[in-house]
Amino acid sequence: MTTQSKLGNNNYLLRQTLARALRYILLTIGMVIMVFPFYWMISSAFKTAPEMNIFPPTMAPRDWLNFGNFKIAFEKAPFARYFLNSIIVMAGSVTVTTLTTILAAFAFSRLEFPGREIIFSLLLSMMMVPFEMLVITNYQTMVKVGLNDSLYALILPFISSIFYTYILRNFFQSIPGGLYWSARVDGCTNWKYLWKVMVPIARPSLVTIILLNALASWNSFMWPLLIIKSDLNRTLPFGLYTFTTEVGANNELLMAASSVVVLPMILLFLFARKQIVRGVARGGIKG
Amino acid sequence: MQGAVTQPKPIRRAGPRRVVVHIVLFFIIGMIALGLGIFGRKTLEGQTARMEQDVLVTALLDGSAAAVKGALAPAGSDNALTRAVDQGLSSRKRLLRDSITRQVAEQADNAAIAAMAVDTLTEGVLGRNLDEDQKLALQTTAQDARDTLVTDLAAQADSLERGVTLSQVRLNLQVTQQYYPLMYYYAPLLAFGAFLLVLAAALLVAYLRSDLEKRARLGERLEPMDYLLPFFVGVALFTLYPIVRVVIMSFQERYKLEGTYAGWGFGNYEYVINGVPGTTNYFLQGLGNTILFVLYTVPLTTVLAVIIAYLLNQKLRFSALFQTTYFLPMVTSITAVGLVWRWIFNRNFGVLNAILGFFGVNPIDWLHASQNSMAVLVIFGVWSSLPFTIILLLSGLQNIDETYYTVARVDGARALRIFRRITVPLLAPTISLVLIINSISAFKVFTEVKVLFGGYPGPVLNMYTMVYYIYDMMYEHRELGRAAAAAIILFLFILVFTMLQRYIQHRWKYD
Repeated sequence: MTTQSKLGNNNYLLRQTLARALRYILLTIGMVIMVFPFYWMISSAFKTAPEMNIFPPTMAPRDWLNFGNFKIAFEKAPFARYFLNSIIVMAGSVTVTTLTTILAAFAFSRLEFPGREIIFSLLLSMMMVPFEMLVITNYQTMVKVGLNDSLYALILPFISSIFYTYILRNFFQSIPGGLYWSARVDGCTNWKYLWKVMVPIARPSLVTIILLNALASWNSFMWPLLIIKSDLNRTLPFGLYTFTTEVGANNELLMAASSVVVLPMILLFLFARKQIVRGVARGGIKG
Repeated sequence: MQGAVTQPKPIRRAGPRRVVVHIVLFFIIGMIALGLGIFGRKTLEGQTARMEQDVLVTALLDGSAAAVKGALAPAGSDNALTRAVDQGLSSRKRLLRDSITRQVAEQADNAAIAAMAVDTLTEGVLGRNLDEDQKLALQTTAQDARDTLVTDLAAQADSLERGVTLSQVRLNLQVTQQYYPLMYYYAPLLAFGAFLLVLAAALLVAYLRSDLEKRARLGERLEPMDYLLPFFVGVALFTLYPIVRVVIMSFQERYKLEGTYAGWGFGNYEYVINGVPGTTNYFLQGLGNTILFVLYTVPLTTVLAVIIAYLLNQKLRFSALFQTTYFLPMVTSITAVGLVWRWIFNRNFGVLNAILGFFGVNPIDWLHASQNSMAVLVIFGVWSSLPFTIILLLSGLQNIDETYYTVARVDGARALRIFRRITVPLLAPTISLVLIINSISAFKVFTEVKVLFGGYPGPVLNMYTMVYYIYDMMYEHRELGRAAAAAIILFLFILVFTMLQRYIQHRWKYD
């Protein structure tokens, strides 16, 4: 952009500066709107009940270190337990899904068997079916086998993901085949090649898949809503949702609890923004 | 595979062993499946028999009590007599239940049990302190009536037997907690076990009959299966089976969670589309709301996202800060931020009304006035789907060749003109992709509604969406058949967009 200054046009320079200022102003306004709900959640979490019931509301709590709401929220509902459940479900789901995905993606990209391409395109067409449709049968299955109201039921339906397999397969296929054949001729088994060569190379893709999967698992709401009945088996979003009936008008408690649910993912995002953004951009799927 | 390498010998060492491992594994798993299947079948038979006995015992007990009462103290008898008879009956009932249960378990003749029951109860009544005359009168009545009572009762009991259906067993067991889930799947388990055993046998035969080279090749053929098996188990159980099942279910009229249904036909679709005459048709309401939501949210999101992505794509200070904040709503739980927005929309103390009040707008009842529901949902929908849209557009922008811009600038084109003539046309594939993906996900709106309106579809049940309707049918009404019909209709809508997406991706080679 600076190369333009050689035109030596004062008017042009002014316009440039104005445009840049406008750009920052617009972006900042947008940023405030995007972030405001988060700020509002956290600031409300530190307010006292009387502070909440003021109109117009104050922009900041009187005491930023007022952790009383968090304490009461954790006493009123077993949020520690919800947290643990969410972690268990997330860890279980991510581990199993990643394993099945790696194995399947390898088979679909490197191993040869009759009907490979046809099977894969059939799988891709299954991806068109929304989860909201599968949920009906899956719900009945879980009730029938008596797994409803258990954490297993929150993991099981997601043990294999066609979408992640698709992403990883694409990446595996971009690894040159010559590498594979030279390794094989040197006596490397498929199994060893997969874990010693392909998985390390595909690490960025794997990280992306794991992150997307963790996000989806942590934030999932509809499935736990259907499956979980008892209080102690709830995951965070669902536990938070049921907490609303408990707090009544005490929104400060609700905001404290919401912060607990949201914070881990914000932290994760701050640390792994690039990987998550890349994954979303490449996958083109909505979380 | 063979053509690529001319000397593949060192690769093939692991082959034969793999075949042996498979034979053993297939055998073991097959035996386990068979065992579970046989055990399941036995348990199911046992449970069914026990429940049939329970039904029979109850029928005999209640039937005999009612019959004896009807004979000895017919309706309209004086109170003292009725009370005496009732006391007499209840004095024997518990003992009688035990003895009937025992006799039913011994598979005694229904007539014999009925006779025993009537006799015991009559005895019980006659054992009360009644005056002599009454006692005598009762005795004669009882003797006269006895044979008819016994015959009737036995006939009743006979007709009862074999009246227990599988779904009744299932329901009863769910209530009583004696639930061994695998027993309903004994048939698939037996089939699976048998299949594996046959497979193991076939492999064994093939193995024994071939030489080392052939055994190795057999092992290599098995290899892809091992890698795919865990994946396919999940796909088969939780994707493929549900797809097929939901389609079938949608034609099973009034198919319930318990597995009962009234018949085959288009009844579910008719119900979903026509609703109950004289009441609101929530499916059509949901369809209308969903389409409106898509029409409002998607274009609005896209326009805003194009502008923001364009601005973010320039050389910027604090670019990381901007990106982080703009993308934040993507990673946070819809449930949690939905609750935050609920608080923002609060009528009395909400910050939105405070801001609007600053501009002289009277407080608006966002959440409880039905005319504002769609606005609330759209605002939240746009806010939450912006990050995703911006990311896709941003990566689309970054793929545009920098030289276009350079050339345009050298030619003296202004920023707005560059934006309109270069950025937008070159971004068109990404924009259409974003439109489609956002439409698909907006068609599935559910959590937003559930959370924003406090667990109900809108303040006055005015905000049903398609998925909300499906959820309602499935979860609240246990009408899986109707939910399936609605889900199929939803799928058809989404299918149109998916096809468009495929077409665009194919045409622009976007991936």
